[in-house]
Amino acid sequence: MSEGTCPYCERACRLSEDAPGYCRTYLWRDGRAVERWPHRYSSLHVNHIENVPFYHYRPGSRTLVLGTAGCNLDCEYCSNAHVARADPGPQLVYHLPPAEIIRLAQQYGCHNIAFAVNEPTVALPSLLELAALAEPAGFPVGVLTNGYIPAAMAEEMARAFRFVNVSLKGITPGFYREHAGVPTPEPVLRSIEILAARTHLEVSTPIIQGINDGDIPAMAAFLASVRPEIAWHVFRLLPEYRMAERERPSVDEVSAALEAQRGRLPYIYFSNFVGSRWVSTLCPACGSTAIERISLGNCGSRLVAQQLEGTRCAACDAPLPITGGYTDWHSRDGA
Amino acid sequence: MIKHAAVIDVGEWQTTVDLSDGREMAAEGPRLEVARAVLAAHPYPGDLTDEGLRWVTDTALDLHARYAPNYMMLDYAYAHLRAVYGEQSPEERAQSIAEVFGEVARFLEATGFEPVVVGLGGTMPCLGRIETLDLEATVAAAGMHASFAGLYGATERDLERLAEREGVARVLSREAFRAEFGGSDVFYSAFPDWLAVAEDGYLFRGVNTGTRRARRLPRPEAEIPLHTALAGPPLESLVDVAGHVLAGLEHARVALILVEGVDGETFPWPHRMIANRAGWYRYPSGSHQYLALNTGRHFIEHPDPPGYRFELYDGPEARYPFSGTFMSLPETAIGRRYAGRSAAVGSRSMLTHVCAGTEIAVECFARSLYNQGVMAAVRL
Repeated sequence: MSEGTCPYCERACRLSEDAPGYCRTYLWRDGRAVERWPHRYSSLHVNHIENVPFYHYRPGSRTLVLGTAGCNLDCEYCSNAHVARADPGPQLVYHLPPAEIIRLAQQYGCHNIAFAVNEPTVALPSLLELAALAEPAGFPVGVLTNGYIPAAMAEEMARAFRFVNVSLKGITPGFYREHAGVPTPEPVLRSIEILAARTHLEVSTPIIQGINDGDIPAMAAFLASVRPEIAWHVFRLLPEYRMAERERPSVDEVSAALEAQRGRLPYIYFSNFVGSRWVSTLCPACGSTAIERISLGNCGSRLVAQQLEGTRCAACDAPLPITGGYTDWHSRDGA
Repeated sequence: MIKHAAVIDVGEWQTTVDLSDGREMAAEGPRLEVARAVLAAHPYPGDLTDEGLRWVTDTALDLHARYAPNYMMLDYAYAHLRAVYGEQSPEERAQSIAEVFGEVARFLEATGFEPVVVGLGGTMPCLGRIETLDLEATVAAAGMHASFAGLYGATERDLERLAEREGVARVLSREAFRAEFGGSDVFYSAFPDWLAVAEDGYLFRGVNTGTRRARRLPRPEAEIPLHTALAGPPLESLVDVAGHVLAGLEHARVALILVEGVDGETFPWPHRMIANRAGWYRYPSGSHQYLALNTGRHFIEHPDPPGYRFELYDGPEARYPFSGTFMSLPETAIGRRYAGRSAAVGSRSMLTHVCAGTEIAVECFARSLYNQGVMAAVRL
């Protein structure tokens, strides 16, 4: 029986023809890792790009959000465990080759396609194929990823995807070992460096008070060393899965900890709770609100107003790290 | 024009926003003080927890003690949510219903309200899901239980295929629907070209369908049970309830209590059955049923038709962003028409504040079972 090493994730699982690896989504056939369920998805939703979340990529745009099932990490607080931790096969009810997804994106007036419900690494060949066909058709593709991938895959993602959000869950080996099921954050940090240099990158971090809130300065320092203009989405933990009984972090205390980092990272956002007042983009040069958002809960938010001239602040003309500029939600309604 | 604030409490942190646009606002007043105190004292324990059931009663009793309303609307979603998303045996479902009515009795004994209690219908096994992604039409089949699907730009072939598909009860055009049901222009302004209706026990699936797997589904009932302590002529339909409550409020303190997941067979108190339909349309548990009960008007008089494409109305200009797919608050709700003090508490999230129309409406802020806190809509 042939066997080989899965190239898609840093776990580098041994695969065979009938034995998948940790994520359960690949087998080894004909001398390579192959998806067990290519082009199969668990869900499709039309959503605001701010809800994915991306705040600095085509703000205001409409995104077709895709999800499959499965993950290569085992985060104790996973908010989508019902798809990320479940047996993938029964979840993957939609067979949608790239042409079908592009058709749906057109029909629903979307501007982008994003993979966001679970980890894209578990379906990477399908997503790369989708991206190669969707972008020429007018639909840039982006992903949310935990970044626990080899350097070659990070480079592949950077080449294929126009916007990426990496979840930096902590910055110590102890955190990743105890709460995410892998030994080290090093591959994630490396992915951030690779992706930041090659594509539009934003970063997300769920804060678990008493566990990783003390690492906020170190995480901020790392991100500032990569690129100070990076958008950093800090999430207040919504306790789920094996942390369902845990207390929610203090909004005031986490906010204060983040405030201390704004000097080196001007685009820090704090959300994942309804009514957050830390989701708008302020121009660092003049302090005016360049993009006003409201938080409706979950990880993202809703754009309600913008003062942009292209990718510059309309008030003072300072450049802002906004890729693509404002995109009218309704601009493809009649498509 | 009446303005509303929303007080949001996410646990040890509160903010106040304008309900109509979601922007943070500075507002003070006696009702806001009451709402802030009640929210701070009653964090939501979660949809599927026993504490989540008691939360409705505990919060309502506290709100009653602080505000002394003459009219209250309560909604208990517990039995419905446990049946649909939990793993319950028939005995456990019966136990859940008994627990809910124990809570209803606790509330009534403590407050002395004259009750009008409505069971919103039972649940049934999920028999199947109806595929829509292979159609050429743009299909609107959103949410947790899509028993209707709106079709836009459907081809002849789409209509033929859908009509043949297992679980599809009927497919009819906007014109045919209007000829049969009538209704307001605003209802038809967002109505799909074609509307597909699922048979009982079936759901449509496609773009925007919820990802939570339902173990059981709400059963659209032809009739639902009603228990009332108020005098008056016998009620025949769910749209008679609002008038019945308003008439009762002329001489009594009244509580309208909506209990989800309960049908005529499982409703434990004396009751009569009332129609839960308009023509062949049987109200599924959800927004249309809540609106009909609370406003006395059938679904065709409201602006959110089944199967409408929400994304066409969801841009930066969208109003009431904390009110789900509702684009306005009904002015005909009991709480809006009654001039006395009114309040509501419910575990069916935004349906509580939208449909009750009371001066204060406290609800869980839960979306797809994600518990994000509590919210109070407060009339300024």
